[in-house]
Amino acid sequence: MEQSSYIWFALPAILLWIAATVTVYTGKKRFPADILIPAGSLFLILFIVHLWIERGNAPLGTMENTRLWFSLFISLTGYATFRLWRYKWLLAYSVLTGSVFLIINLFSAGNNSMEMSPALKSFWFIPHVTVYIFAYAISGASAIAAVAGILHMKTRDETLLFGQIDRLVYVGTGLLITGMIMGAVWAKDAWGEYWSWDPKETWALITLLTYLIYIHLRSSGFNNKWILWLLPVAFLLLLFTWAGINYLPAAGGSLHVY
Amino acid sequence: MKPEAYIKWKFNFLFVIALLTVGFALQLVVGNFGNFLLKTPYNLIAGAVIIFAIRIFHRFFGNGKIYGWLTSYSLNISLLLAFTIMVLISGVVPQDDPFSRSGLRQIVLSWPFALTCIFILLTLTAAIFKKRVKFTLDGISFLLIHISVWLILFATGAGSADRKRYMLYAEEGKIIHAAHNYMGGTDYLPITIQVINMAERRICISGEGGMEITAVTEVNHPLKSGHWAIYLYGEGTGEDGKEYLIMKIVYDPWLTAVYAGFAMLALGAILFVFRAGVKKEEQHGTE
Repeated sequence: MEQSSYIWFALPAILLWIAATVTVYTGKKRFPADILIPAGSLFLILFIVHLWIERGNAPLGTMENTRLWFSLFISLTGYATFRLWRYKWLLAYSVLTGSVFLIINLFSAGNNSMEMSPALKSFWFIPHVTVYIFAYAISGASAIAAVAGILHMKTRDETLLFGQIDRLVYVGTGLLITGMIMGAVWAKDAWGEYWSWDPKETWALITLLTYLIYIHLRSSGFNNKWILWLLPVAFLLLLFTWAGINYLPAAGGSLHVY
Repeated sequence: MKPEAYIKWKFNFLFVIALLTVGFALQLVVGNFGNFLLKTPYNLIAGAVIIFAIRIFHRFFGNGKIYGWLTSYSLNISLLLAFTIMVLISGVVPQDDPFSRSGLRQIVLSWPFALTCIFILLTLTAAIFKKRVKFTLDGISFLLIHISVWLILFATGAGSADRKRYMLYAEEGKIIHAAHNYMGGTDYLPITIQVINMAERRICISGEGGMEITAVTEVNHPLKSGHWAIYLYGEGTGEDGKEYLIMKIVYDPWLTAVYAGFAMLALGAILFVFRAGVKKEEQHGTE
């Protein structure tokens, strides 16, 4: 049921976002984007609410669900950074990334509905997953900004760009830590262990540690653009944590299967 | 990078490689790091010694070269990198052999991992004492995050020696005094457990001093009694057709300390997020 109606929410969202990006690059005024981006995101919010009502519980338990939230959050993150710093390219890349994830969901063989396992029926389920997905979106934006920084460092104001990338990393890392703690408290209630070295936990920690290395390197006074490479690497680790760990030899018996 | 900074980075990088080499050598010679050495009160003594020694060191030699080295970015980032690489190994190599000779198949019990954690505890302590308390977002989030990481690392690492975990398979009516530990043996418990009603999953726990709790077990809602907690894992049917509940029993006297660390870390992380809104584009490093 949800998959058949999904296209009627996803397509308008993608089209509105693309229209917003085109107006940002072609028009002189900002207000079309101020209407079109939130309008596109509103379609996704409506679909999430629709799913929630249909299922009777939060749509957060499957890969399809998390991609949906990621698309919503990264489009809003791109829009927020555009409002703050006027970076058209960051808005364009964020909207593109969000659209790609929505399109993957269009062709995904999975589904948007899921019977909740007992362990998922917890107060921590919604805050843990949404905070993590929001952190993923912000980290995605920081990786995009870092790649742009690597490619165009000479033509941009280095200090300004580094400062703005750092801000995204601070927010993303703060949210990653918060999501991890909520997960630990939940895991303690559900499984009796706040940390089990489960593959998902291990890779989430590797991702977080990579961001912590970046933050400490920046605080140490490193201005070298090479350390910006850490951010796309950290984002790849993050994507691996999100979707790739099932392919690992160390992932046998992971409790985080969805 | 200035030449003297380059030398510092190179030195600390090599120092951490040497630390890991010593760790792997110890691992090959004596086997796993024996965390049984850290049972209470020895873990408390070890923690107090670290704090006291670094405090004294800070008081008299806080401006010296060695203290500066302990708190240098180059040493701390090298240690963080070593820790990350070991966690990475545990994320790639199946962690399925608690008696792994090289330590690679059970990294968290290995000497190189333990030595890295001990050094991180030392450098964290030094960094905390060095930081002048400033009531700014920056200052408070720095202290909250670093103190909480210290507490979590210490309470989970040194506290692991006091933690006990058991799996229990309980049929209705049977009074259970013993359970399977994670080393393949069976231990007598200081509490007794009885499934009163299988359908309702109602169980009764009796402890020392006549304490008795009767309650319904549920996933995500453990039963707690002092430092003991009982978790419902599932249910099964034996060969004789009798149903049983699968429960995990955990004794963890360090849980309060770990949760205090979590609360401080969460607060520090939230301040860190807000800090992004006010952070100026300044650099304050020395290397």
